[in-house]
Amino acid sequence: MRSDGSPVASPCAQSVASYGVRIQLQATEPELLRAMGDRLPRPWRATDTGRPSRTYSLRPTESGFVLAGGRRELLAADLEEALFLFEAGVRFHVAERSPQRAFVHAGAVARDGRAIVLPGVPAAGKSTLTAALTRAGATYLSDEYAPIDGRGRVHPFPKPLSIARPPHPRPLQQPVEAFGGVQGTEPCPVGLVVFTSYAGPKRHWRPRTLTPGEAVLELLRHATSAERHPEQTFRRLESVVLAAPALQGARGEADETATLILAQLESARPGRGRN
Amino acid sequence: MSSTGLPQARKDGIVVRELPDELLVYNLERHEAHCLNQTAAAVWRHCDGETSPKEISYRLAREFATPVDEDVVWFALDQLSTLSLLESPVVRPGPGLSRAQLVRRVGVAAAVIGVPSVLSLGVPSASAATCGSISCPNSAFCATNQPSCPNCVSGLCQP
Repeated sequence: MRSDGSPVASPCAQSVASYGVRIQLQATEPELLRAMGDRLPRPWRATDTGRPSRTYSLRPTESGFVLAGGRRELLAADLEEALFLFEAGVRFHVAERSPQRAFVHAGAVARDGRAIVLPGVPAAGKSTLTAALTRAGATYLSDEYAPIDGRGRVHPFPKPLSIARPPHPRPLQQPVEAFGGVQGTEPCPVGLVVFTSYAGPKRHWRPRTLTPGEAVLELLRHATSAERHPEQTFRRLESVVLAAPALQGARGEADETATLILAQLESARPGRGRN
Repeated sequence: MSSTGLPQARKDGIVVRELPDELLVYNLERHEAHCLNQTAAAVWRHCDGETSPKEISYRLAREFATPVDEDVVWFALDQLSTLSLLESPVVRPGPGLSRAQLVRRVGVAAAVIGVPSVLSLGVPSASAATCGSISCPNSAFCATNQPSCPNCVSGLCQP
Protein backbone atom coordinates (compact mmCIF):
# COMPACT_ATOMS: atom_id res chain seq x y z
CA MET A 1 0.00 0.00 0.00
CA ARG A 2 1.33 3.43 -0.90
CA SER A 3 0.83 6.43 1.33
CA ASP A 4 -1.87 7.56 -1.09
CA GLY A 5 -3.70 4.23 -0.62
CA SER A 6 -2.90 2.55 -3.94
CA PRO A 7 -1.82 -1.12 -3.88
CA VAL A 8 1.67 -2.52 -4.48
CA ALA A 9 2.75 -5.71 -6.20
CA SER A 10 4.19 -7.89 -3.44
CA PRO A 11 2.20 -8.29 -0.22
CA CYS A 12 5.14 -9.19 2.08
CA ALA A 13 8.07 -7.26 0.72
CA GLN A 14 8.11 -3.74 -0.52
CA SER A 15 10.67 -1.16 -1.55
CA VAL A 16 9.80 2.39 -0.69
CA ALA A 17 11.39 5.82 -0.90
CA SER A 18 10.90 8.51 1.71
CA TYR A 19 12.66 11.88 1.41
CA GLY A 20 14.90 10.30 -1.20
CA VAL A 21 15.95 7.40 1.07
CA ARG A 22 15.26 3.92 -0.30
CA ILE A 23 14.13 1.32 2.22
CA GLN A 24 13.11 -2.31 1.90
CA LEU A 25 10.30 -3.59 4.11
CA GLN A 26 9.76 -7.29 4.74
CA ALA A 27 7.14 -9.05 6.87
CA THR A 28 5.75 -12.53 7.27
CA GLU A 29 2.18 -11.36 6.78
CA PRO A 30 0.54 -8.68 4.67
CA GLU A 31 -1.01 -7.13 7.78
CA LEU A 32 2.42 -6.62 9.33
CA LEU A 33 3.74 -5.06 6.14
CA ARG A 34 0.76 -2.72 6.06
CA ALA A 35 1.36 -1.78 9.69
CA MET A 36 4.99 -0.98 8.90
CA GLY A 37 3.88 1.17 5.97
CA ASP A 38 1.60 3.09 8.30
CA ARG A 39 4.62 4.03 10.43
CA LEU A 40 6.84 5.27 7.58
CA PRO A 41 7.70 8.98 7.44
CA ARG A 42 5.28 10.64 5.03
CA PRO A 43 5.29 11.28 2.20
CA TRP A 44 6.63 8.02 0.85
CA ARG A 45 6.13 6.10 -2.35
CA ALA A 46 6.67 2.57 -3.57
CA THR A 47 9.66 2.18 -5.84
CA ASP A 48 11.45 -0.63 -7.59
CA THR A 49 14.55 1.27 -8.62
CA GLY A 50 17.77 1.68 -6.74
CA ARG A 51 19.35 -0.30 -3.96
CA PRO A 52 17.80 0.13 -0.52
CA SER A 53 20.07 1.65 2.08
CA ARG A 54 18.45 -0.49 4.76
CA THR A 55 16.11 -3.46 5.01
CA TYR A 56 13.68 -3.76 7.90
CA SER A 57 11.92 -7.05 8.57
CA LEU A 58 9.27 -7.96 11.11
CA ARG A 59 8.23 -11.43 12.15
CA PRO A 60 6.27 -12.90 15.05
CA THR A 61 7.85 -15.35 17.47
CA GLU A 62 6.50 -17.34 20.38
CA SER A 63 7.42 -14.57 22.81
CA GLY A 64 6.65 -11.49 20.74
CA PHE A 65 8.10 -10.00 17.58
CA VAL A 66 11.54 -9.72 16.08
CA LEU A 67 12.41 -6.52 14.26
CA ALA A 68 15.56 -6.66 12.17
CA GLY A 69 17.14 -3.55 10.73
CA GLY A 70 20.69 -2.95 9.67
CA ARG A 71 22.92 -5.36 11.51
CA ARG A 72 20.75 -5.79 14.58
CA GLU A 73 17.71 -7.70 15.69
CA LEU A 74 15.44 -6.34 18.41
CA LEU A 75 13.00 -8.46 20.37
CA ALA A 76 9.73 -6.73 21.21
CA ALA A 77 7.15 -7.99 23.67
CA ASP A 78 4.21 -7.10 21.44
CA LEU A 79 3.38 -5.65 18.06
CA GLU A 80 2.93 -2.11 19.34
CA GLU A 81 6.42 -2.12 20.81
CA ALA A 82 7.85 -3.59 17.62
CA LEU A 83 6.18 -0.90 15.53
CA PHE A 84 7.33 1.82 17.94
CA LEU A 85 10.91 0.64 17.53
CA PHE A 86 10.52 0.38 13.77
CA GLU A 87 9.09 3.86 13.52
CA ALA A 88 11.81 5.43 15.66
CA GLY A 89 14.51 3.58 13.73
CA VAL A 90 13.23 4.33 10.25
CA ARG A 91 12.62 8.00 11.05
CA PHE A 92 16.19 8.31 12.30
CA HIS A 93 17.48 6.49 9.21
CA VAL A 94 15.66 8.90 6.91
CA ALA A 95 16.78 11.91 8.96
CA GLU A 96 20.38 10.81 8.73
CA ARG A 97 20.44 9.81 5.05
CA SER A 98 18.05 12.08 3.19
CA PRO A 99 19.70 13.75 0.20
CA GLN A 100 16.69 16.03 -0.23
CA ARG A 101 16.41 17.81 3.11
CA ALA A 102 18.63 19.00 5.94
CA PHE A 103 17.23 17.34 9.06
CA VAL A 104 17.51 19.09 12.41
CA HIS A 105 16.58 17.34 15.64
CA ALA A 106 13.94 19.85 16.68
CA GLY A 107 10.34 20.58 17.37
CA ALA A 108 8.62 22.80 14.83
CA VAL A 109 5.37 24.75 14.70
CA ALA A 110 4.03 27.49 12.44
CA ARG A 111 2.07 30.67 12.98
CA ASP A 112 0.73 32.90 10.20
CA GLY A 113 2.74 31.00 7.61
CA ARG A 114 6.10 31.23 9.41
CA ALA A 115 7.79 28.38 11.22
CA ILE A 116 9.33 28.37 14.67
CA VAL A 117 12.11 25.80 14.97
CA LEU A 118 13.03 24.51 18.43
CA PRO A 119 16.29 22.52 18.23
CA GLY A 120 17.29 20.80 21.40
CA VAL A 121 19.24 18.05 23.00
CA PRO A 122 17.29 14.99 24.09
CA ALA A 123 15.10 15.58 27.15
CA ALA A 124 15.38 19.36 26.79
CA GLY A 125 11.60 19.62 26.74
CA LYS A 126 11.06 20.12 23.01
CA SER A 127 7.83 18.14 22.94
CA THR A 128 6.45 19.93 25.99
CA LEU A 129 7.19 23.33 24.46
CA THR A 130 5.88 22.23 21.08
CA ALA A 131 2.64 21.11 22.73
CA ALA A 132 2.38 24.45 24.59
CA LEU A 133 2.83 26.36 21.34
CA THR A 134 0.08 24.34 19.66
CA ARG A 135 -2.19 25.03 22.62
CA ALA A 136 -1.40 28.72 22.14
CA GLY A 137 -2.58 28.57 18.56
CA ALA A 138 0.43 27.53 16.50
CA THR A 139 0.11 24.84 13.85
CA TYR A 140 2.00 21.64 14.58
CA LEU A 141 4.74 20.55 12.14
CA SER A 142 6.94 18.14 14.13
CA ASP A 143 8.21 17.32 17.60
CA GLU A 144 11.24 15.33 16.52
CA TYR A 145 12.88 16.41 13.27
CA ALA A 146 12.58 19.57 11.21
CA PRO A 147 13.30 18.81 7.52
CA ILE A 148 14.61 21.93 5.78
CA ASP A 149 14.59 22.32 2.01
CA GLY A 150 16.83 24.31 -0.33
CA ARG A 151 14.72 27.43 0.15
CA GLY A 152 15.09 27.31 3.92
CA ARG A 153 11.53 26.12 4.46
CA VAL A 154 10.52 23.63 7.13
CA HIS A 155 8.32 20.75 6.02
CA PRO A 156 5.84 18.94 8.24
CA PHE A 157 7.26 15.70 9.63
CA PRO A 158 4.24 14.58 11.58
CA LYS A 159 3.86 11.93 14.17
CA PRO A 160 2.07 11.87 17.52
CA LEU A 161 3.83 13.97 20.14
CA SER A 162 6.05 11.89 22.41
CA ILE A 163 5.65 12.96 26.02
CA ALA A 164 8.13 11.36 28.43
CA ARG A 165 6.55 9.76 31.50
CA PRO A 166 9.32 8.28 33.64
CA PRO A 167 9.77 5.68 34.93
CA HIS A 168 7.68 4.18 32.11
CA PRO A 169 10.15 3.08 29.43
CA ARG A 170 8.02 4.23 26.50
CA PRO A 171 6.83 7.81 26.03
CA LEU A 172 3.15 8.55 25.81
CA GLN A 173 2.20 9.04 22.17
CA GLN A 174 -0.53 11.62 21.79
CA PRO A 175 -1.95 13.11 18.60
CA VAL A 176 -1.63 16.87 18.30
CA GLU A 177 -5.40 17.11 18.39
CA ALA A 178 -5.26 15.93 22.03
CA PHE A 179 -3.53 19.25 22.78
CA GLY A 180 -6.14 21.21 20.88
CA GLY A 181 -3.68 21.60 18.02
CA VAL A 182 -3.84 21.36 14.26
CA GLN A 183 -1.46 19.43 12.01
CA GLY A 184 0.27 21.59 9.41
CA THR A 185 0.38 20.26 5.87
CA GLU A 186 2.45 22.84 3.98
CA PRO A 187 6.13 23.84 4.19
CA CYS A 188 6.77 27.21 5.83
CA PRO A 189 9.71 29.62 5.74
CA VAL A 190 11.43 29.84 9.10
CA GLY A 191 10.47 32.93 11.08
CA LEU A 192 12.28 32.19 14.34
CA VAL A 193 14.79 29.70 15.73
CA VAL A 194 14.77 29.13 19.49
CA PHE A 195 17.46 27.20 21.37
CA THR A 196 16.12 26.56 24.85
CA SER A 197 15.83 23.96 27.55
CA TYR A 198 13.80 23.70 30.72
CA ALA A 199 15.65 25.07 33.77
CA GLY A 200 12.95 24.98 36.45
CA PRO A 201 9.59 26.63 37.10
CA LYS A 202 11.03 29.90 38.44
CA ARG A 203 13.21 30.58 35.43
CA HIS A 204 12.03 33.39 33.19
CA TRP A 205 12.96 33.17 29.54
CA ARG A 206 15.36 36.01 28.68
CA PRO A 207 17.08 34.91 25.50
CA ARG A 208 20.00 36.52 23.76
CA THR A 209 20.08 36.93 20.00
CA LEU A 210 22.71 34.83 18.26
CA THR A 211 24.65 36.10 15.29
CA PRO A 212 23.81 34.22 12.07
CA GLY A 213 27.16 32.42 12.28
CA GLU A 214 26.58 31.35 15.87
CA ALA A 215 23.13 30.16 14.90
CA VAL A 216 24.46 27.98 12.08
CA LEU A 217 26.91 26.33 14.47
CA GLU A 218 24.15 25.71 17.03
CA LEU A 219 21.90 24.25 14.35
CA LEU A 220 24.73 21.99 13.18
CA ARG A 221 24.94 20.63 16.72
CA HIS A 222 21.46 19.18 16.19
CA ALA A 223 21.62 18.38 12.48
CA THR A 224 21.35 14.64 11.87
CA SER A 225 22.11 15.06 8.16
CA ALA A 226 25.37 16.99 8.65
CA GLU A 227 27.64 13.98 8.82
CA ARG A 228 26.54 12.42 5.51
CA HIS A 229 25.57 15.56 3.61
CA PRO A 230 27.65 18.33 5.18
CA GLU A 231 27.72 20.77 2.28
CA GLN A 232 24.01 20.58 1.57
CA THR A 233 23.16 20.82 5.27
CA PHE A 234 25.53 23.75 5.74
CA ARG A 235 23.96 25.72 2.89
CA ARG A 236 20.41 25.04 3.99
CA LEU A 237 21.05 26.07 7.54
CA GLU A 238 22.68 29.24 6.27
CA SER A 239 19.52 30.10 4.34
CA VAL A 240 17.54 29.67 7.56
CA VAL A 241 19.65 32.02 9.68
CA LEU A 242 19.79 34.69 6.99
CA ALA A 243 15.99 34.81 6.99
CA ALA A 244 15.18 34.38 10.67
CA PRO A 245 16.53 35.55 14.02
CA ALA A 246 17.86 32.91 16.40
CA LEU A 247 17.43 33.19 20.16
CA GLN A 248 19.12 31.23 22.92
CA GLY A 249 18.31 30.96 26.62
CA ALA A 250 17.01 28.65 29.32
CA ARG A 251 13.29 28.71 30.00
CA GLY A 252 10.76 28.17 32.76
CA GLU A 253 7.24 26.89 32.33
CA ALA A 254 6.29 25.93 28.80
CA ASP A 255 3.02 27.85 28.56
CA GLU A 256 4.58 31.14 29.66
CA THR A 257 7.53 30.62 27.33
CA ALA A 258 5.22 29.76 24.43
CA THR A 259 3.47 33.11 24.80
CA LEU A 260 6.82 34.94 24.81
CA ILE A 261 8.06 33.01 21.78
CA LEU A 262 4.96 33.84 19.77
CA ALA A 263 5.42 37.50 20.69
CA GLN A 264 9.02 37.31 19.46
CA LEU A 265 7.84 35.80 16.19
CA GLU A 266 5.36 38.61 15.82
CA SER A 267 8.05 41.24 16.34
CA ALA A 268 10.56 39.60 14.01
CA ARG A 269 9.98 41.02 10.59
CA PRO A 270 10.43 38.66 7.64
CA GLY A 271 13.75 39.01 5.86
CA ARG A 272 15.64 40.36 8.84
CA GLY A 273 18.67 38.44 10.05
CA ARG A 274 18.07 39.43 13.66
CA ASN A 275 15.72 41.53 15.66
CA MET B 1 52.88 28.17 5.58
CA SER B 2 53.21 28.11 1.82
CA SER B 3 56.44 27.28 0.03
CA THR B 4 57.30 30.92 0.56
CA GLY B 5 56.93 30.42 4.32
CA LEU B 6 54.00 32.80 4.46
CA PRO B 7 50.53 31.94 5.76
CA GLN B 8 48.19 30.43 3.21
CA ALA B 9 44.51 29.80 3.75
CA ARG B 10 43.35 26.25 3.33
CA LYS B 11 41.46 25.74 0.08
CA ASP B 12 40.80 22.02 -0.31
CA GLY B 13 38.28 20.01 1.65
CA ILE B 14 36.37 22.97 2.98
CA VAL B 15 33.12 24.77 2.27
CA VAL B 16 33.11 28.53 2.79
CA ARG B 17 30.00 30.66 3.21
CA GLU B 18 30.02 34.42 3.55
CA LEU B 19 27.61 35.99 6.03
CA PRO B 20 27.14 39.73 6.47
CA ASP B 21 29.73 40.13 9.27
CA GLU B 22 31.06 36.60 9.60
CA LEU B 23 32.60 33.82 7.60
CA LEU B 24 31.59 30.21 7.99
CA VAL B 25 34.03 27.42 7.15
CA TYR B 26 33.16 23.73 7.20
CA ASN B 27 36.06 21.29 7.22
CA LEU B 28 34.75 18.29 5.28
CA GLU B 29 37.55 16.00 6.42
CA ARG B 30 37.40 16.72 10.14
CA HIS B 31 33.67 17.50 10.28
CA GLU B 32 34.33 20.75 12.06
CA ALA B 33 32.50 24.01 11.54
CA HIS B 34 34.03 27.39 12.26
CA CYS B 35 32.57 30.86 12.50
CA LEU B 36 35.15 33.59 11.95
CA ASN B 37 34.29 37.09 13.09
CA GLN B 38 34.98 40.01 10.80
CA THR B 39 38.59 40.48 11.88
CA ALA B 40 39.56 36.82 11.77
CA ALA B 41 37.85 36.53 8.38
CA ALA B 42 39.77 39.52 7.05
CA VAL B 43 43.07 38.01 8.15
CA TRP B 44 42.15 34.63 6.65
CA ARG B 45 41.26 36.21 3.29
CA HIS B 46 44.68 37.82 3.11
CA CYS B 47 46.48 34.53 3.74
CA ASP B 48 47.45 34.00 0.10
CA GLY B 49 50.90 32.49 0.70
CA GLU B 50 52.53 35.69 -0.56
CA THR B 51 51.75 38.18 2.16
CA SER B 52 53.58 38.48 5.46
CA PRO B 53 51.75 39.03 8.77
CA LYS B 54 53.12 42.57 8.88
CA GLU B 55 51.85 43.32 5.37
CA ILE B 56 48.48 41.81 6.33
CA SER B 57 48.33 44.25 9.25
CA TYR B 58 48.93 47.15 6.83
CA ARG B 59 46.17 45.92 4.55
CA LEU B 60 43.75 45.57 7.45
CA ALA B 61 44.61 49.08 8.57
CA ARG B 62 43.61 50.37 5.14
CA GLU B 63 40.41 48.29 5.10
CA PHE B 64 39.30 49.29 8.57
CA ALA B 65 40.74 52.82 8.42
CA THR B 66 42.51 52.39 11.75
CA PRO B 67 45.99 51.28 12.81
CA VAL B 68 46.20 47.50 13.21
CA ASP B 69 49.00 46.02 15.29
CA GLU B 70 50.77 42.99 13.86
CA ASP B 71 49.90 41.19 17.09
CA VAL B 72 46.26 41.30 16.04
CA VAL B 73 47.18 39.41 12.89
CA TRP B 74 49.25 36.90 14.81
CA PHE B 75 46.42 36.38 17.29
CA ALA B 76 44.20 35.41 14.36
CA LEU B 77 46.89 33.29 12.70
CA ASP B 78 47.42 31.33 15.93
CA GLN B 79 43.75 30.38 16.00
CA LEU B 80 43.52 29.65 12.28
CA SER B 81 46.63 27.51 12.47
CA THR B 82 45.43 25.53 15.49
CA LEU B 83 42.12 24.83 13.74
CA SER B 84 43.80 23.64 10.53
CA LEU B 85 42.39 26.50 8.51
CA LEU B 86 45.83 27.19 7.05
CA GLU B 87 47.63 24.94 4.58
CA SER B 88 50.47 24.55 7.07
CA PRO B 89 50.87 25.60 10.68
CA VAL B 90 52.43 28.97 11.36
CA VAL B 91 54.90 29.56 14.14
CA ARG B 92 54.83 32.89 15.83
CA PRO B 93 58.20 34.48 16.54
CA GLY B 94 58.27 34.89 20.30
CA PRO B 95 55.55 34.24 22.86
CA GLY B 96 51.91 34.72 22.00
CA LEU B 97 49.50 37.04 23.71
CA SER B 98 46.35 36.11 25.56
CA ARG B 99 43.13 37.78 24.56
CA ALA B 100 43.31 40.08 27.59
CA GLN B 101 46.95 40.97 26.87
CA LEU B 102 46.08 41.74 23.27
CA VAL B 103 43.24 44.03 24.27
CA ARG B 104 45.48 45.84 26.75
CA ARG B 105 48.27 46.18 24.24
CA VAL B 106 46.43 47.34 21.17
CA GLY B 107 43.54 48.94 23.02
CA VAL B 108 41.44 51.21 20.89
CA ALA B 109 42.31 49.58 17.61
CA ALA B 110 41.06 46.24 18.90
CA ALA B 111 37.86 47.92 20.00
CA VAL B 112 37.36 49.35 16.52
CA ILE B 113 38.01 46.24 14.48
CA GLY B 114 37.30 43.60 17.15
CA VAL B 115 39.62 40.97 18.57
CA PRO B 116 39.95 38.11 16.08
CA SER B 117 37.70 35.32 17.16
CA VAL B 118 36.91 31.88 15.77
CA LEU B 119 34.01 29.91 17.19
CA SER B 120 34.32 26.20 16.45
CA LEU B 121 32.18 23.10 16.63
CA GLY B 122 33.02 19.47 16.14
CA VAL B 123 29.87 18.41 14.30
CA PRO B 124 28.38 15.47 16.19
CA SER B 125 27.42 12.28 14.47
CA ALA B 126 23.73 11.83 13.72
CA SER B 127 23.35 9.29 16.49
CA ALA B 128 25.10 11.54 19.00
CA ALA B 129 22.73 14.36 18.04
CA THR B 130 19.73 12.24 18.96
CA CYS B 131 21.06 9.71 21.45
CA GLY B 132 19.03 9.50 24.63
CA SER B 133 16.12 11.13 22.88
CA ILE B 134 12.58 9.97 22.89
CA SER B 135 13.72 7.57 20.18
CA CYS B 136 15.52 5.63 22.90
CA PRO B 137 12.62 4.10 24.83
CA ASN B 138 14.85 2.43 27.37
CA SER B 139 18.36 1.20 27.91
CA ALA B 140 17.72 -2.04 26.08
CA PHE B 141 16.80 -0.63 22.68
CA CYS B 142 18.60 2.00 20.71
CA ALA B 143 16.46 3.00 17.78
CA THR B 144 19.33 4.79 16.11
CA ASN B 145 21.10 1.46 15.79
CA GLN B 146 24.42 3.08 15.04
CA PRO B 147 27.62 1.28 16.03
CA SER B 148 29.39 4.64 15.84
CA CYS B 149 27.26 6.04 18.65
CA PRO B 150 29.46 6.75 21.69
CA ASN B 151 26.73 5.47 24.00
CA CYS B 152 26.34 2.14 22.20
CA VAL B 153 27.81 -0.60 24.38
CA SER B 154 27.46 -4.03 22.85
CA GLY B 155 24.33 -2.94 21.08
CA LEU B 156 22.71 -1.44 24.18
CA CYS B 157 22.11 2.24 24.66
CA GLN B 158 23.91 3.29 27.82
CA PRO B 159 24.14 7.07 27.92
